[in-house]
Amino acid sequence: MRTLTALCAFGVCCAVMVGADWPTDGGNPQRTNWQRDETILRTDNVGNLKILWKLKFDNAPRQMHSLLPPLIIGQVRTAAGMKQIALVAGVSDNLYAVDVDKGEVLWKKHFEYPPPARSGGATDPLCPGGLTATPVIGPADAAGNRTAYVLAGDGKLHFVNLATGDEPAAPVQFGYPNGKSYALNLWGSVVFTTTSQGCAGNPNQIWAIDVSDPLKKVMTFNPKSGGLWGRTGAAIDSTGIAWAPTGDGTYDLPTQRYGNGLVGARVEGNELKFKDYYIPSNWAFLLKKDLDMQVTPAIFDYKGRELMVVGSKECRVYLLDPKNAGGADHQTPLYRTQQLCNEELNFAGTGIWGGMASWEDSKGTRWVLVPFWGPSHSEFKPPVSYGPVRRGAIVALKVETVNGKLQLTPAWMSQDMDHAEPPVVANGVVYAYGSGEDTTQAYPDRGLLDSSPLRIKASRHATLFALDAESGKTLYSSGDQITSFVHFGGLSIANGRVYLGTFDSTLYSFGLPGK
Amino acid sequence: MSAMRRLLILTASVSMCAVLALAQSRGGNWPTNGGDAQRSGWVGADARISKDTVKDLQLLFKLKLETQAKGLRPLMPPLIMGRLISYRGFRELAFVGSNADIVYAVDADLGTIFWQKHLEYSTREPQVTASTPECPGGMTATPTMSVPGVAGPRGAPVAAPARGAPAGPVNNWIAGVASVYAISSDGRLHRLNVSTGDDILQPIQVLPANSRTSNLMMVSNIIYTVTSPACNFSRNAVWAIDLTADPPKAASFALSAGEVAGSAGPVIGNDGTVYVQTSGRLLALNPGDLALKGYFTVPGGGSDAGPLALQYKSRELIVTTSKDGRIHLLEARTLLGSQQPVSFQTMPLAISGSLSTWQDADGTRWVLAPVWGRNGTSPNGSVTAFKVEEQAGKAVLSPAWVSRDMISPLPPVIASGVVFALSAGKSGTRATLFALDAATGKELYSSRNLVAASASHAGMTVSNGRVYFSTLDGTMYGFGMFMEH
Repeated sequence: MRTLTALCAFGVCCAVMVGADWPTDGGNPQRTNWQRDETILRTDNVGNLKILWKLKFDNAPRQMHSLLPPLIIGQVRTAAGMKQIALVAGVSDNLYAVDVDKGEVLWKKHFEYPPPARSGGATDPLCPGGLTATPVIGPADAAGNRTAYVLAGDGKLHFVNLATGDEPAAPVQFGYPNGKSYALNLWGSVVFTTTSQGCAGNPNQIWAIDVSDPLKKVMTFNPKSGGLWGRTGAAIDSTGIAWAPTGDGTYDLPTQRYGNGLVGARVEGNELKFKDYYIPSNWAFLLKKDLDMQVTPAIFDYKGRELMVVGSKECRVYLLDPKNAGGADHQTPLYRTQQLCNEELNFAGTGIWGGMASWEDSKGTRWVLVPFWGPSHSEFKPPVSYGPVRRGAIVALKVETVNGKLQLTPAWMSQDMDHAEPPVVANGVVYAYGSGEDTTQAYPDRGLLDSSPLRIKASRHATLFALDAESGKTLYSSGDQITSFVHFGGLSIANGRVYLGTFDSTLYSFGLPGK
Repeated sequence: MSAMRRLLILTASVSMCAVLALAQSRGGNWPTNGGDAQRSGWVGADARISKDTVKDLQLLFKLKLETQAKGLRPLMPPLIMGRLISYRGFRELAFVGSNADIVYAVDADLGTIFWQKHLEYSTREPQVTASTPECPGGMTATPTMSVPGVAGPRGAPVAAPARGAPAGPVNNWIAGVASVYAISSDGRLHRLNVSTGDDILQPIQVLPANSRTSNLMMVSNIIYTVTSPACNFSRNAVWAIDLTADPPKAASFALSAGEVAGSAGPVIGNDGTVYVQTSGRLLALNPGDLALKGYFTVPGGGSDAGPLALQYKSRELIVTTSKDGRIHLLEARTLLGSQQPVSFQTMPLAISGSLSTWQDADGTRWVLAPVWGRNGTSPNGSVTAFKVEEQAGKAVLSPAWVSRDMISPLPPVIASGVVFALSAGKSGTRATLFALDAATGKELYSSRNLVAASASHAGMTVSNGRVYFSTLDGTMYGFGMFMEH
């Protein structure tokens, strides 16, 4: 009995130490980017963050894409015992399982297939082809196995045993070759993804497949827009509705076009049913200026009510009720912020890109974290800031009820960051990074020219920051320790470690030595 | 209201918004004064303007720009580039020339200056600062962009390069990025980058300095203009500046048979023929080398209004006016023949400025004339509309309607069956913009007292749901249909 007690205590301890997971891009199906189970990293020690290891993979970048955000499972039963595994996908159809404690590759897979007949342009960063969707890891089955769902560049969904890299079942078609898929999400037994930009001539839509369905029927909803290119795909609310931004395009009910908006669809029976949508009232102006709605929303609870935030290149944040997005006319949000940035209304290099984050502090205050690129708007004056913002920053908003109405109240704006990307938050610390990516798509002397070689050449290096989540104060900066930039990547955090993969196919693991 | 009815209304309104937005996102162009090679003043169908909606026209912006207090054309009507994907974002730009030798790019959505470029006077001839009504000085020619040479309304989308497509090298006067071409008061040709206003190439002398230059027209890589009268001893001539040569070569046709009093500039026929109205003749010149192809001796002498080329059924007609106020309608093919052509002519009217033309959905071709002075029940001035009709195998003009009274109306512009007419007003009064039903002349909208001064006589522009003009105090006005920002 005493032995059993000791074993249990050890198990609990292990669970505390390494039990947290980050099984999907954005941390959870709601894409809050909030790691609730972090205990190692705190505001009072995060200033001692170090690079614990960095691992260079044999993954060839395609266009500007390279590594997708790692997924973390704290405890995976392997032949060599329990291990904490980071699963990293590379755009050249590579999959790596990394032993986090050792910083070594446990196994690697490469998905082979004949070269697709169609692909993107030779230097087009929008359509790189290959594996572009962050995988997702399902819960443990009865035998304790974890399955990673991985969408290869040929559009086949693979079922990969996380411990071994084996594929116990044959892959199924879940998309088109070189169609640009975005991060997978998992709700029950249904895997979701989104596609955009018509890469290789493929449709832009929400995709779903029930992996428990013997027929593996592929279900889609197409909002007839320019593309659903929220970086982390669709976010899923408590009723199973997958919400995705629709990029640019026209809003036209008779022809069921829902461009420049946010659409929600849910699997009912064996169909993906369109359920609701929100279109900003100035969508026509946004369309004209190419200020897409292209940010994966974050869905969260606020005093017992589910809410959703989404943003756009225009650099406004919309607060929505997932049960009635946009009200009766689908164009009235619960709250719309002023422009935080993008005063010039540029389509490239400014605005909110990727996703957002949300967390709740111990006092019950609900926070929303918004990354943006470019200078802050001259009329946006948060109560706390840290010098002029020229290249990007993180803005923290509080969800509040004022005179019976919900609003997003600015709390702080971080220091300047070179293209601030979606942050993650854990244990009172916000982790953010400036990607260092060159995002130029048009030039004064050449006009529109979105070219990977030009952008790669002009890119700089990424920088990781740790911020006090209450005040936005910088607690840590990686300075110039990261030597390459990040495009289409992202942060992951679990069990005292923060991960970031760069264009040169290097995975960085930051943490506290000895922890 | 029932749920179904609300849904229907919502559906209808959203559908209309979608149509409007789609048209907006494409971005129509107005690349030259008068809108096209024929200077028709007609934009065709504009998705944001209709007879039903034009009553909701609003003053969207007014913008004070730098001008010199001389002449009646301190600001020129803007050229419109419906969609520029610039390094600063997607823009609809209005390029405005000022007699202070400045070209402005105005953000047409926001009514703000996107860039401005002062064209430095830089030639050996000293700058003439004196000003007379005939020779006002400063920059006098509305700039131009490349103009499609085929007759018909504009509104076609700007051909934006595909994402990732390499832009051509900028090493001559036509290749590479889109450009605005302007001739400054020193007679130098400028090729300006539409994104920045920078001179893409070193400006080059193509015309005599200090001459009065008419509105530019760029067709098939040749810029046409006229210098007249002989301001500061410059020549009376028609000019063709060939941009395919580097440096550009200027050919000229000396106007020995009379001066050109107006500023409208040449118009281009469907086959590229260059038509110029002088005080004595209507000239038809060969494109490029400007060799004389034919002419029409205008009875009583030509007026200061420029000619107009229009398509009527399968024929091209040329419209010109004489000093006595008659409108002459000629078959282009007879003008180009060896015999002196025969024209149909209207009753005399006090026409000032150029004519405009459009074609309705039934195929009826209309000609609109700004008339200064009494015409019917309009004592001060009016826009007078004619239909082109066929009588005994001959095209004739049939009076259709006379508008409400206006003071010194400018050549009207037309969009979606709506005529926009500007009562320029007299010194010390205010201009008034009117929208008229193009089929009947009925007033659909009036700006009333929204304009603070009398209007520049340089003309109007209509494009993408907006109407532009300027006033003598150097203020640019943008009226249009509201779009939420």
